[in-house]
Amino acid sequence: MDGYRRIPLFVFCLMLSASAGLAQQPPPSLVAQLMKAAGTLRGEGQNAKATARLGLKSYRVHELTLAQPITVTVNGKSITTGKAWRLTVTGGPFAARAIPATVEIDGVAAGVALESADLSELRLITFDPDALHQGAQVTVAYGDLRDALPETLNLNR
Amino acid sequence: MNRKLHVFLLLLVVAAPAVFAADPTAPGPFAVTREEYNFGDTAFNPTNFPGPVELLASVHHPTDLSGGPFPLIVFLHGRHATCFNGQGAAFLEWPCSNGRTPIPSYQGYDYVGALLASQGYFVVSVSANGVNAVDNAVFDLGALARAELIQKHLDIWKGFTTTGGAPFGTRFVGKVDLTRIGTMGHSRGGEGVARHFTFNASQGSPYGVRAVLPLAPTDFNRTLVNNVPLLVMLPYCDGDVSNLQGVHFFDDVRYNVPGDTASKHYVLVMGADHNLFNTVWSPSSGIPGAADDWVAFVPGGVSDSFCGTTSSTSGRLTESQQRAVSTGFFTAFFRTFVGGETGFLSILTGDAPPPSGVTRNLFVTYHAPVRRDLNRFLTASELSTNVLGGAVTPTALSPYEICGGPAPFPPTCIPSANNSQQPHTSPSARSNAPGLSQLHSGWSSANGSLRDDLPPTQRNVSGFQAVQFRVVVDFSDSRNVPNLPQNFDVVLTDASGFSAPVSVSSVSTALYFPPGETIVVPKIVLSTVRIPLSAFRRVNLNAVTSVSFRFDQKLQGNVLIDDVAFASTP
Repeated sequence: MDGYRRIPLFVFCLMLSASAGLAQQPPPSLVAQLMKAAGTLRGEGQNAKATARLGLKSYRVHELTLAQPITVTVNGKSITTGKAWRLTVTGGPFAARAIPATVEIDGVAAGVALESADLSELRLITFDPDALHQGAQVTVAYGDLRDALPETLNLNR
Repeated sequence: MNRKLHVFLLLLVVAAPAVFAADPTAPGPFAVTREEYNFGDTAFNPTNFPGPVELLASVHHPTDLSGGPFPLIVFLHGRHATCFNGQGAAFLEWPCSNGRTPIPSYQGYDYVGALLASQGYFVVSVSANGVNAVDNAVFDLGALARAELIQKHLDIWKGFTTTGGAPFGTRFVGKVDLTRIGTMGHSRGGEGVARHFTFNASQGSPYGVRAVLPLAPTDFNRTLVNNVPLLVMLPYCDGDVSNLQGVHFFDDVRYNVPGDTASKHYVLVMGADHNLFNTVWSPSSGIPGAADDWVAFVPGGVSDSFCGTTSSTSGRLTESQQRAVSTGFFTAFFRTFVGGETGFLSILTGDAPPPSGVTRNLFVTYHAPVRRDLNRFLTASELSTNVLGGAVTPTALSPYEICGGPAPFPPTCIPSANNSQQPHTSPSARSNAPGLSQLHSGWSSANGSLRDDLPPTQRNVSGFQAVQFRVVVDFSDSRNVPNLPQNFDVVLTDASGFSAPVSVSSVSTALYFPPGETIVVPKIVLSTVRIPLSAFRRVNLNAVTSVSFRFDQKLQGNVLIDDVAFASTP
């Protein structure tokens, strides 16, 4: 039940992600494109056993190069970047449902994930160069139901 | 008859619903034709949306169109897998690839579409698989795309009913009344119909949307649906939208626009889950992706004492029982506010029981358009002075505080409970809007009370039908006994000093102890108690000086209260 004791933090994270609505968002078409784009593999987990509740197994991190730089708001600051990063959480199958899977990095909401076509993966795009860092703990939450990945991020960036 | 029998019969009369409504689910006089139109999987591109969307819908309508034009009801399903293969796997992509078959979520409400058509409506159920496939890549999670999709279908129907067009030719010309439209959306589709109402308004209201029904909806963006009749349906055992965030649609608009005379309702359906309202999403369909979401998404939920399916105390509804609820309330709502019939409103106010065949284990909440608000608990000042300027006097109450609203109030009312257990204050993924401010009020002796005085100019309430408020038992306070209902008296006092009490339990079951124990239940969801003023016998309704809650029926307890008002139905 540890996950359910972290409600205040979760509320804070939701408020953060909500306030991001006032910020500069990347074009949806770009986000959708980056969900499937080829990139450079920067890290990959090894765990093969799914967690009990949400069925999370492992992860991959890809660095993606944009065709042209974009300006987006990251952590309240406007940045111009030519790179993005994709976190892929494996496991599932992840049901396509109303409540989105929210990915948290070290307890802070990083964004909403999109399911892969076969529902075996959740994918998150971030433009924050520091979000996916060595040793980061990745958690997936559907509202009050959440699970942490069994392993922390191990990157070769 | 002896005196005890007299008392017993009197109690029966008082406890029984004051009104019996006609049955809105009785099949109408029209034979029904079912058809579909399909302009292709990639026929529509919503604004700034990263994928194409199909233009496909089912249509139910009276076979004999000579009595037209008929009103139009639009249905929109929610987020679900979009495709499946022969090996029983579900997929999320659009269009479907590799020989996979589209999941026909839009057909999942045909059961009620056919009934409404028999009663004289065109019912169009729209497919939105293309939205579902990529809406998580869009900041508003697809709300605007869904709104634009509905508007696009209405544009299509404008063509069908004016000039005609394929595949129907001129059969529908002059047969559809686009000034009388109702919309129902399920899940993210519920947020879609809410967003559509504001989108249509932003376009100058080219279509006359007269009623909006979000069913088990998301409300990520906190869209405000003002000035239109609203019915939100909330399934207590929702395993997907488990925080019942759609209650915000109701809470947010109660006092948002002065002079808003639209009726606002919600129904808390005990024992209902998220998916079973849609036949295609229900396990009996056999279509991949179908599931009982309570069992599938809530770890350990299968054995929950109320929402689970294995317990002897389970309160879960079967598929047919759950769809009887949607059938009953869809028809009552749309026939009232789109069709203009007057015989079903009492079902929507809670004054009459649900239609026959519908579970009685549900709670109707109603924000009447005709009211004299007494206490809304919106500001700290309302703890001592009510909306009318009368004194508010608490006696022996602890806590006695407002919770759940904007700062400086605490953002939630029960710190030990998670968000899913307190929907009125559940945070929103795409909005910072605060939750509902409510009065948190507990007592530890039979001396507890809360009195609202009416100033002299406001004491004539004879023109109103009822005194009403919203209330729910705080399951987290041990002063409430688990699994036993709470009770207290509502007391009206007149200028002569005469008082008459009415026990809440004699008119309502809203003081139930919220059931269940697995992660997202029990829940705090307020329900309306409406007490006819005629029940306060011999009180002079021309000179009511106070309304009191007298907590003398149970020695101790704790409830949340909101929206105290005198009210009437139009």
